[in-house]
Amino acid sequence: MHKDRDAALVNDCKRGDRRAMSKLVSQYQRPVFNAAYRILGDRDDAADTTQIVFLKVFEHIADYDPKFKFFSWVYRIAINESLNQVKKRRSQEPLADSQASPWRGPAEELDSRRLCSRVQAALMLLNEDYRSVVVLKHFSGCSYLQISEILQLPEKTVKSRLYSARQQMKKTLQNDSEGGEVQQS
Amino acid sequence: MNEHKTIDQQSLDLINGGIDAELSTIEQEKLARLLAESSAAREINEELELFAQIMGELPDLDPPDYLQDAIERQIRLPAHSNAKADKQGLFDNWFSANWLRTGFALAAGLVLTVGVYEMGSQPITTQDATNLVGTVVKSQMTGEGELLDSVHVTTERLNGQVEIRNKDDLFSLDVQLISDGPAEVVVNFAGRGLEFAGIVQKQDRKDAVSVMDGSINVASSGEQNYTVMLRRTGATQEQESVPLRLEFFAGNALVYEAELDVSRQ
Repeated sequence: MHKDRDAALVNDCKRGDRRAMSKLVSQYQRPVFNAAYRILGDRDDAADTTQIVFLKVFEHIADYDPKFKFFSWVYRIAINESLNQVKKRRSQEPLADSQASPWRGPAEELDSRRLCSRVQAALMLLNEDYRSVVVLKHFSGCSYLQISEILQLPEKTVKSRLYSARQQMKKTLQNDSEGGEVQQS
Repeated sequence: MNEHKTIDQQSLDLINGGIDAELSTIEQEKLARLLAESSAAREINEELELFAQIMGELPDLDPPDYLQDAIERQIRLPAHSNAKADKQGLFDNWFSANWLRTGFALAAGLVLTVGVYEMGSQPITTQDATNLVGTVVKSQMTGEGELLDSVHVTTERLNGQVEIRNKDDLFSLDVQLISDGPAEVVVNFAGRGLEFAGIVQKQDRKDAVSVMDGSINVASSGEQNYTVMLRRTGATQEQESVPLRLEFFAGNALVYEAELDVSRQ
């Protein structure tokens, strides 16, 4: 998220400099992969989506408007592409077991891996609009303003979606801990 | 969650804003007062803090090791445009370059002078040479055919990509490179059941091409954009599986080596 450095690298890419491209890929592949993973809940799908994201980024690099932050542009493509994958997958296959049945057990027995699994499962139960804001806020560390730029939504909507998403996730996790039924939102 | 009904939306916004570190100094003071006065607000705040803490504790995942390379191999960038403009007299400095030990031929524009040998076969005959000298290879296949493999070169002095495509018995090596100074690509095709079939220059410029001992040497500087054509000559299955070996030189130094898979699917 270094605006000036990114802008310089993007300019170099527009001139065909592969080293600049390599630096940008290196810088953003991890956050893009993680954002995609949190939305898709699957490492392989996240890796595939990350590849698609960067192909789209560099396919359209000449159209990139430097008045916007590069990372916002990349994230926007990443979120949109991840959501596209969600839609494609929804039409192709049922939810995997790990997504449909989050781990149920007393909170004190949770180890780190199970906690990750539960939170990821709760995340997967959110609708895509809510999931996107949670991922951008809690996993990508974006501010309200940045999320509003990435998703092209008013800040007010970002806040409202984020608050609602949190409530929903909390409910899911609480029900989960108490052995209650988890409902698909 | 039911407690939320006991506090107003403004208070809820303050609590969420506090969790997200998005409050101004004045808002932070308001939040502090709210938390001091309202047990419901404190409870919600604690729940949200715990939630944020749990989310914050989830580790970042490491992308697969192959990912960066896989991405870079697929990306096409516009042709490099910041090559040095002045290339006059450049070839004068190349005569001492190590690649010239195998001989060279100067190509002017699209007209190339090429001598061909293939490892394991007889030396080229006068008739063969006559047939090849001055050949202008038509761009019958450049950019077409099935993409078999590609390699990306990213070094301090030499950058670019080489793609190999196949259509029937023809293979095209599309070379796009940019270098700060004299550079050379050596394509070793000996023992692969291949023969040199020509070269297509996509720029109006002078490059040096030599084909000897089962290898093609193309020397240039700045922006390089050409296609080397190879033809299959009744190769055995074993020969077909042997990859093409590429060497990239910048100045006289070997800066990168790569292999291209020429086995057809």
